[in-house]
Amino acid sequence: MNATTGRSNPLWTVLAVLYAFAILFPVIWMASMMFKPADVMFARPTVFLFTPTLEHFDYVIELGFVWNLLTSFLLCTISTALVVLIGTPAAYAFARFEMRGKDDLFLFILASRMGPPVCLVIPFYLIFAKIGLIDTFAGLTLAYMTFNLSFYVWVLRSFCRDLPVELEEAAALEGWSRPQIFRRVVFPLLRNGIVATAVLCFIFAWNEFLFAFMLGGKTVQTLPVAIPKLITSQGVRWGEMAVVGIVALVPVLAVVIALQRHIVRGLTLGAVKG
Amino acid sequence: MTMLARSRHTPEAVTRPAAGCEAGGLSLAGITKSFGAIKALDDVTLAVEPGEILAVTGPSGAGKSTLCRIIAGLERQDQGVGRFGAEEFTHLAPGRRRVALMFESYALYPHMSVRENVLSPLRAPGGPDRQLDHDGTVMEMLKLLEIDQLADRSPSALSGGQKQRVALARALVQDPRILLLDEPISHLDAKLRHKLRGEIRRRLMRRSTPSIWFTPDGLEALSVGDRVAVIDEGRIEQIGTPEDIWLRPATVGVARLIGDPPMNLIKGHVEVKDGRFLFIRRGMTLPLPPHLVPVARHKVEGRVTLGLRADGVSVVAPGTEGTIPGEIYSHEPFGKHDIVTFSIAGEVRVKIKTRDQSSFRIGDAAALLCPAEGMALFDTETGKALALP
Repeated sequence: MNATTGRSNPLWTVLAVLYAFAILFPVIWMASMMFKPADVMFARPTVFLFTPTLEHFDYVIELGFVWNLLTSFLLCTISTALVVLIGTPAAYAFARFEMRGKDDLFLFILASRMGPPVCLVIPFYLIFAKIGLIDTFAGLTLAYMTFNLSFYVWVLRSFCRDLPVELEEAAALEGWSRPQIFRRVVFPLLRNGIVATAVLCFIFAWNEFLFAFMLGGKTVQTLPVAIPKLITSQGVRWGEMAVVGIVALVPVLAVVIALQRHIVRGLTLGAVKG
Repeated sequence: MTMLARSRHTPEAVTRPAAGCEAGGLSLAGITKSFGAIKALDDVTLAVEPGEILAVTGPSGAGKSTLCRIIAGLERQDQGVGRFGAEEFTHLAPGRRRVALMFESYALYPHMSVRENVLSPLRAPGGPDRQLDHDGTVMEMLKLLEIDQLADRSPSALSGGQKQRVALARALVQDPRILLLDEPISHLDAKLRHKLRGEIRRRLMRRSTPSIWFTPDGLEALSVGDRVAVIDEGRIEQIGTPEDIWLRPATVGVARLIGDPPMNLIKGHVEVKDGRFLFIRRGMTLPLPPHLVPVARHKVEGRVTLGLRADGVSVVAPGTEGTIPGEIYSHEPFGKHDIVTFSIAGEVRVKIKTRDQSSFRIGDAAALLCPAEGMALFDTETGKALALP
């Protein structure tokens, strides 16, 4: 049986649907909770048919979650953009140029990602407290950049190494300067790799809690840090949590869907290059 | 074309190494390059005249690619200079040398169409006037190479042969001062290689640009070059016309590289008996032909290597006068010719290329006839062809 007939087999279709359902069930469950009135939220037996309500949305807006969402989005977008801006030339340089102590320097960069984040957050806090970056947008951007940059450089370097160096040499012989070669030849070929890696960095930053909690908190409060506000003395506000959970999914989904073509190519680049 | 005919058949081209220099061709003098302890190029001196194709051949690791990259400016030589005419170029950046290099891997930009690939060097800052409309030039070049119908395709949609032509178009469109072809047809199948070899040579012959064709295949070098340079262990072993290289290999290294099968090399020594000069090896005595006697005279009792060209010797019936007795060791019929391995005294094996379709049976007694023109003599110690001191 070849792969094509395997995919069109009804048994496989059923299994695929079941698998997709298992993966999507929490999302579907959350989506239903968003609109469920509080009195039927945990009713037994489970109520499937109910009059949808928007009361959870009202409360979430009232608590200022829109600002948290905006903070998270801006923080992740800006830090990821900076990572791409700084990390792409760095990864290219690590892949292409010979310099003294290159391997040691590369390991040093990677090492910043090796320790558990909780070990790093304390020195970060002490340093940031000294230089007045605690609870500032710039401070958190810097912190996110630090831990994403090493990952980005590490992954993108392997994409750069996969590019045949002859392409750059051919362009150099034609008379293009190095920045022009980077823009005309290297960048278009790296685009998928850059997008795929940047999306991963964006998701890491989006889901991040510890740094946002320790280094931000009051004025700069990201979505993951704001969620515990919904655990109140009167109980957990499940409906509102579902709203925030689903809303938190939307930007990531939007980014992934918009850039799907590049991500798939980027993630499979090593497998299909020819 | 006339220039090529001249350079291919006149010995002046061989004996005037700096000829290219005067005529605006390329000349290299004393190019040396080491990578750590390994000497990749050792005092390489050569010249290519305008319109001439120099084929550089040698085993892998001989220094061909390093030489190619040094001319292109992708590597820097430790010593030596390169000139276009009288103008030194070895200090210039690659983009300012006007060198077109056709890479072994073709190096076509995968994100650009065929047209954009060929257009790329014309649009480069160092290229011709950027304001000009180069589309016409590009299409003309594509038409010349019969790939104009592929102009809007991406390189990934092309076959190996088509990619090779696009790479050639991109090189030729630049109007370079020298065209370097680094193993341009190595990755193609035998049939296509055969077809394109002649085709590329025809395209290059129409131009006044000097070209260097690098290939590890000795026979390919002989078929495409007006002259051939054989390089081994970073040193130029011999530069000459294909006929020179084929008939008079300068070293054992050249003899080993050229030929299909390569020249048979048999170690032994020279003795004089009854006034006759003989090549002696256990189980084998061969009188040297008159043209080798003057050179052999200086090597009497010295160690020499006898070279027998596979297509210069033949198998005859045993007992024929002036032949070496032995037996048929193996026989490979190829249809167009046969390769027979002849065993002398059970220890020397000689490969013979013959058109004689008679049935050779393994183990049959036979004799080896060695005419004068199929023989060469080398100094075993230096590996060089014996010459008059």
